[in-house]
This record gives sequence, C-alpha cells and structure tokens, in this order.
Amino acid sequence: MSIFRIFMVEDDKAFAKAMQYHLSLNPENEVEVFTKGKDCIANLHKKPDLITLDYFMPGENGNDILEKIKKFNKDLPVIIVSGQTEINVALELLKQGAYDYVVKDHETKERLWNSVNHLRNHSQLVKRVDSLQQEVEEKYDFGNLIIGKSSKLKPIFNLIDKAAKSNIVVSITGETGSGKEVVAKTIHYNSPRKDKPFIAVNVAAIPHELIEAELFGHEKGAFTGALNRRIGKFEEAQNGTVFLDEIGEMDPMMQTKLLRVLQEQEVTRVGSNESLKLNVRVITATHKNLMDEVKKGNFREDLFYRLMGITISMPPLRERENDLMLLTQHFVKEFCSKNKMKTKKLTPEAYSKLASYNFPGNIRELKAIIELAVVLSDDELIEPDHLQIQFSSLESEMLSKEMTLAEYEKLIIGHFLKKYNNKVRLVASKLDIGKSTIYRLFKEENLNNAES
Amino acid sequence: MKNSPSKTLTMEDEQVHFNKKKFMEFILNDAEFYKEMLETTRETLTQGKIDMAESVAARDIEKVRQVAHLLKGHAVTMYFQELHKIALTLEQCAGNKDWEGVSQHIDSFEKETDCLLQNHLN
Repeated sequence: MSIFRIFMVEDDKAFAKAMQYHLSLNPENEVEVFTKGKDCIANLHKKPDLITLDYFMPGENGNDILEKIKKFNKDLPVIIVSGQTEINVALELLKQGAYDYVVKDHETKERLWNSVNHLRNHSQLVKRVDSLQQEVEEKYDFGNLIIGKSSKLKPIFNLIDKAAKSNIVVSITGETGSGKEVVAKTIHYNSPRKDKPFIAVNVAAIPHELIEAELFGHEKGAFTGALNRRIGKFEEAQNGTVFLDEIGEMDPMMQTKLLRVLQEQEVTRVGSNESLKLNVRVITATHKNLMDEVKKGNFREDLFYRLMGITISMPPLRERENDLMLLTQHFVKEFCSKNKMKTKKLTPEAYSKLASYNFPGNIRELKAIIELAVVLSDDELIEPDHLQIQFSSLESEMLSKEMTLAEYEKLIIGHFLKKYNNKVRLVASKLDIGKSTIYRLFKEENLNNAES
Repeated sequence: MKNSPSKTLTMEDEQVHFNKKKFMEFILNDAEFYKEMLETTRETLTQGKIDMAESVAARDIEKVRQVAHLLKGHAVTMYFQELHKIALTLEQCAGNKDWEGVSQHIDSFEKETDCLLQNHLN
C-alpha cells in the first residue's frame, strides 16, 4: 500500500475534521490538518502528495500561500476549497496553477473525494512512469543491456558511446536477431533525448500503401478509411528518436519522400498542405547490404548517404566467441527472476549442445531456446534434452551454402573435432570413419594439434 | 420568540436548525465520530459568538465578515440551516460595509447560536 499524503489547510475545525474523516476512509490517504498557511509551508519538506487550501482564512492571503507552495514545488497539486463561489476568483486561481476549485457546500465531500481519487491515481501513474523510466535507463545502460566481452563487441561499444553523445544519423547492420534494435535503444536512452519518445517502426511489416500515412500521419478523409486525423511516427517521436528497422525494404517512392523529410526536417501529413517542423533523430537498421542494394538500383544512393552516418555492424552470435556462455547465463538468470524461479544452471553437456549450433536466428533465437529450456527442466539443471534446437534449420542452412562434398566433409569433421577437443579417435568413432581421414584433413589444413 | 432556547421543538423546527438526519448520513451514522463533531462544533460556536460580539463592539466590520464567513462554512458542514442563512447575510452586509444590516441581524445570530448550543448539541 502506498501512502498518499494530504495536507489540509483549513481554519474551520469541524469542516477539517469531517473531511479528514471521509478522506481517511481510504486507508491509503493520510491527512494532516493545518489551521495556518505558514504551518503548512513549514512542513512542505514532508513531501505531501496534495494540498487542499481554504482560500479565504482570516489574516491569511490565499494567493501568497498558493504562490509559496508553487515556489517550493510547482508540480505539487493544490485543490482550493472555498465558501466563495465567484467564478472569476476560481479561474484566476486555476490560472495560477491550482489543480481544482471546490466550493464548500453539501456536495464538497463527494467532489473532494473524486478529485483526491483522481489525483491519487494520477500520482501513482506518474510514480510508475518515473520508476519505469528509471528501469528503462538502467536496462539500457551499456553494461546491463549489451551482454558480451568478445573482441568483436569492443569497437561497437565505442561507436555506441560516440553515437549517444552526438546527434549523428546512425545505421545499424546485422543478421536478424543480432540486436540491432537493442543497439538503437541503447543509443537513444544514453543520449540527451532519453526523456523523449523512442519510436520503432518495422518498415517491412507495413504494407506499401499504408507506410506514408503510418510514418507521416494523415488528415481526416485523406483516403478511404481515414476516419480521423492521426499523427505519424515521426511526429510521435518529436524531440526523440525514430528507429526505422528493415529500411532496405522501403519502396522507391517512399524512399524519395523520406529523403525529402530528412532534408527539410519537416513532415506533411497525407491530405494536408501544412508542413510541421521536426526535431527527430533517425536511426536505421537493415540485414541487407545497402550498398549492394544501391548498386542493384533498389535503394536511392542519395538516401543511402544521408542515412549512413555512423555505421554499426552487429556481429552474428556465432562470431562472438564466449559471449554465447555469458548471454546464456544472462537469459537464464533474467527469465528465472522474472518468473520468480530459483536460478537454474546448464550442465556442461547442455553448453556443449549450444556451442555446436550456429544460431541463424542469433540472440533472439538463443533467448527463445533458453526460456523454453528453463520451463521444460523440472529441477535446477538444464540438460541437453531441454534445449529445443531446430537442427533442421542448421541442416537447411548448411545445404543452402551449396559446397562440394569434400568441403562438407571438412566442415563436419572440423565441427566434431572442435566439439570433442581434437580427440581424433573419439571423432573417428563418432563419425564411423578412419583416423587417417582425419589426419589427412589435418595435413591439408596444416593442423597439428590433434590428440590420438 | 421564534428561536427561544426554552421552546419545545417540533421535528420541523429541529430540521431548520440542525438537520441531524442529513448530518448523520454525511458522517455515515458513526456515533463515535458524531460525539467528536458535537464537541468541535460547541467550541466553534461558542468562540464564534464571542468573536462576533467583540467585533461588533469594536466596530470592526472586516472582523465581522471573517467570523461570519467562518460560521457560514461551519454551518454548511454541520447542516445548521438557519445559522447558514444568518451567517451568509451577515457576511454580505459586512462585505458591503453595511453596519445597519449587521445590526439588524446580529440579534438573530446570537439567538440562533444559543438555540443550537442549548437545544441541539447536548
């Protein structure tokens, strides 16, 4: 239960007592009564959530008290309670920052109750938003978010830091699931724009005919089905960051319009003649090689150069050395914690199974595999059987490379040698081949660290 | 005398002075809290009566307005319907610097407070 502290400045003891009685019917409300404005001011350090102020008290100037409260904390809500019903006074007080104006009559109890309830709910929401904001900031702290110590990540941390400190355009490349959006969020939440919106748009997921309205908004009646005015993602991200994922999938017509928005720093809603000034940082991502797309004529060269800025290439998980282990431990811990479970551990065999897989879906796939494994395991240990790895995807991926049989042979033998620490006899037995085949491979590859 | 403290009160009279039924509803029929409120209102009315008498004697019209204003709000809270009317009139007269109006109503104010203190708040 969170306490909602109410200060009541009121010289009519009976009224104060009655209101205190009613408001305290909600155990979350804690009401403290002051018969003098100065006593209330002297106690503001106790951080009340709300003040109700009798505006007309003998020897007191309600304006002064309100001003002093607002000077102490301009966001502290003040409800004026008064026997006066002059509308001009009420309007003037509301202009000065009063939250509400409640007249003393037989409905006061209900009106005050409703107003306090509304404020308490609002205050709880504000506190929740603040706490979530803090959580997000902690979550998107470099160290908490991008897990890994591999050599491939170090230059990336450096680039993220540079991108966060500047306003430069950022383009992120990398395979699906390699963490492109996480990098975009990390940049945003570590930049001066962190308190403003981060709006992510997956360009590939929006039908071509809708993307303009989605990005730039539309006026009522701009097209069939546009029943109301709607602001677009760029406007939504005003003063913040818009993240355009899968930018390589954008059709040429839309590329032209996006280029214009980026050049002019203004946006025009579909169906409108008025343009709106924008202050939005743009971060893009793609799994494609955009330069190749430019060469093929699928992507505008001028847009390519405008979007390039700092380029961050996220390495695939299979190239991130021991990060697999760190990420695995992180996902196990995170999932167990979120689900209030005791933290589980992977057996060495389970780690070995993970290490033998090349994760075409990268970190996203690893996370899904780990979460399922945690659920499937009945005790504190995660065994290989709990890891639902889709080896069929490995098979299709391998076959899609269309190598020669000899190359596949090398790949398979190499994989087993890595898995069994170069124990030739064991690998030969597993693959049902002669040791000489393996030694031949070593000779061809100039390897000499095999153990017989 | 309409509001004589010694008059035998009818139900109608009672509601004009103190609508106890409504007040009990207002405080959710909490008998303990009712006792507390009676004590507070006795203090407020007694002090109000003294303050009003002193203000009138001192010819302090602003003080008259302040006391009337306080008692007007108090009367609303307590469902003292007659006192509310009188206090409102006194507040308005004092606000208009109308001593004649104040003098006309001060007597009924005193009688009404006495009536409440002696007949209704025991």
